[in-house]
Amino acid sequence: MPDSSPSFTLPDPPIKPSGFDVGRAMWRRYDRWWLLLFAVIGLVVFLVRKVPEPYAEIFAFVQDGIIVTLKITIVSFFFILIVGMIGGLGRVSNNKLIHGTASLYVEIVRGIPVLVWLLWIWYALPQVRDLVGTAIAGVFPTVGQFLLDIRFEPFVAAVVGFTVAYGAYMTEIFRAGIQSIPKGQMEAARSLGMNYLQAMRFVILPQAVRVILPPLGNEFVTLLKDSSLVSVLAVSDLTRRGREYVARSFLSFDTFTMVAMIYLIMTLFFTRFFTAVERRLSIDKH
Amino acid sequence: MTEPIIEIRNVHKWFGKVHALDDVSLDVQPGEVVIIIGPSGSGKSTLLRSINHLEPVTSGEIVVDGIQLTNKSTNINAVREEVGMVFQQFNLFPHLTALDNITLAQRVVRKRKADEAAATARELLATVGIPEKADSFPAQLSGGQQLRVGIARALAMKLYIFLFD
Repeated sequence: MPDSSPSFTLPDPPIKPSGFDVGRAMWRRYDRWWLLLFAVIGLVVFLVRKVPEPYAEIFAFVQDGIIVTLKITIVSFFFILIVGMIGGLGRVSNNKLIHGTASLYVEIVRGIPVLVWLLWIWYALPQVRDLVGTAIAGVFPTVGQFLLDIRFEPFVAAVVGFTVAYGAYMTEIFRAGIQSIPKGQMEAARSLGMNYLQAMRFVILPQAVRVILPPLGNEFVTLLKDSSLVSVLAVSDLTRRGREYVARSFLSFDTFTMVAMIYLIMTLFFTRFFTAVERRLSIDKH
Repeated sequence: MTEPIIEIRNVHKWFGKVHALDDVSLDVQPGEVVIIIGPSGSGKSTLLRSINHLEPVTSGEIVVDGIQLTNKSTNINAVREEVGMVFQQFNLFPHLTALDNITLAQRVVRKRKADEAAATARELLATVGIPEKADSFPAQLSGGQQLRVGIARALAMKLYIFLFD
């Protein structure tokens, strides 16, 4: 007699987790990279306290450079965000002229190194100002003179340079973020009677910003590091202060190690900061 | 006989080589409920979407409440403010709570005050049977609950034309 029992067997039921591992979950909630940050801070504090010759002296010498670096980074980032948002909106625009202008801006700026942008704005732009100012002064003396009287501060030139250069990268980030939002969102907003800009402002951009937070934080940290390029514009940022100290003390190893650790503290902190913001704003509330 | 509120005349819609709408004509009277039935891909959604101009038609004419949709100079927003739509995929705004999903357009388009809009929204959530979900985000709602929020969101605009896809 043939075997009448079914020839297949049911898979074993999945093993139920025996209990929620609370300790582990708590550990996961706290970002472990904070520890690295505290370790580096600890090392700097240790060196300054225990080996004041030369570390306390170096720290005292470069500390106003830290403020300058942070100021350039934060002020530039603010303007970069504005340029990036406007540029991103331009890149997704259906208007050919707006789209074309935004695309041209991105393509040109992306193809030129940030350092060259800074040098051009600091050294070449004043010549453009003189040329244009003199030409206009021939026709409208007051307007021309006004142009000729514009003086760039190194700090302003740095912020303008970073805004132009990074604005292009930020434009692409915003474009990607806006395009990642499903088409149905715009349709729903428009079908409720909102116009294009209202839909962008209340529906698309709030979602897009959450999507682009990781690359946004990344750009901020990259900018913080690239801000060391402003030392070519005679801005006394952290890097330049370090070089100045080396020039008078010849303590290359100690000074640049200190400078490197201070950068690391700042970048680690801001990376953690953006990760925390990202978690707070997450919309996947399951 | 009253004036039809929606008039569709000889409408054609082509998606590339696909002839989605082939010479469609339809009149809808005020107060009338019209149900469009057909197999998948037969153009039901396309027809609905063309009524509030989410999908511009290739030829023919559509008149909603006396406003010519197929005329280029028409302010499409004026029509959209009068036509509510509930989507197949709901298309709720995932970054807003159920309540804010319903109040957003009231505040932005209708310029209602926040508390007034919220009161309307709570009333409507009670009408569709989920008053307790006001502060939930769409991801926390079931499919049926999301659909109810979608309906409430359209109803909140106090319109007289509704499209249910």
